Amino acid sequence: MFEVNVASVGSVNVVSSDNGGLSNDQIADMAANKIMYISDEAPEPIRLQAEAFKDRVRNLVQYYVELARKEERATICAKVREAGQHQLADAIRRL
Amino acid sequence: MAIAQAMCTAFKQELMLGTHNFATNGNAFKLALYAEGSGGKSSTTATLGAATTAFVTTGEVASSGTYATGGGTLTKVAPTTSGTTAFTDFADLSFTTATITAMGALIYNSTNSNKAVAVLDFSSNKTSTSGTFTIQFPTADASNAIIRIA
Repeated sequence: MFEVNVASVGSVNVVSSDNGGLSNDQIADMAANKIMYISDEAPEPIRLQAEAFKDRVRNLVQYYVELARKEERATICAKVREAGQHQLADAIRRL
Repeated sequence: MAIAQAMCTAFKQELMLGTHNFATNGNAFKLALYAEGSGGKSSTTATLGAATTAFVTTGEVASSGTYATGGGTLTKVAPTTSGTTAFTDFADLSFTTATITAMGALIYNSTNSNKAVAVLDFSSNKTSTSGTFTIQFPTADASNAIIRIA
């Protein structure tokens, strides 16, 4: 006889924002959660080490998310300025 | 509780009948959002759980931003195995410029008569106001993936 022991559904994480898109912190948290899962049942020394590493990964991702957004804004700003929309370009630059 | 997280019982049966194909070129699956009680946008309360057999409109949140009633299409990740566990995954799903209050979601097969797959319970009302509403799926492994058979 063959028996399927468990058929289960994982837990999703909902991330939301108001009056705009997700923040750098929210995106960095999402990325860190995808990169690393730490079991609640892991032995404490291992869990603490894993959490410290996850925190470093999160901070690194956060930095590059911020940089990517800044560079993307700079490109958009340049294109908008090229099109003669100087005020709009300045508004985008100040974001 | 009106929305209870579960793998739908009918889905388990339909797996044995070959109704659902999670291959990347297989069936199309969607995720619809639901409100519960007065916290949601809908005036009706969703009742979802293991007994759910297909997509229902009762209690679904209203269209807003990029969310249209019926839900968003999920991008599948081909099923795979790890040890003795088989699992499948979806890419995270985002709705932008949306005003949404949702308590849970239903994943369903929009290719095959909107048959239900799984009910997701968010535990509390999650809200976005003219913002982004993202559903992040768990790590795709034998212990956490969204749909697992061990």
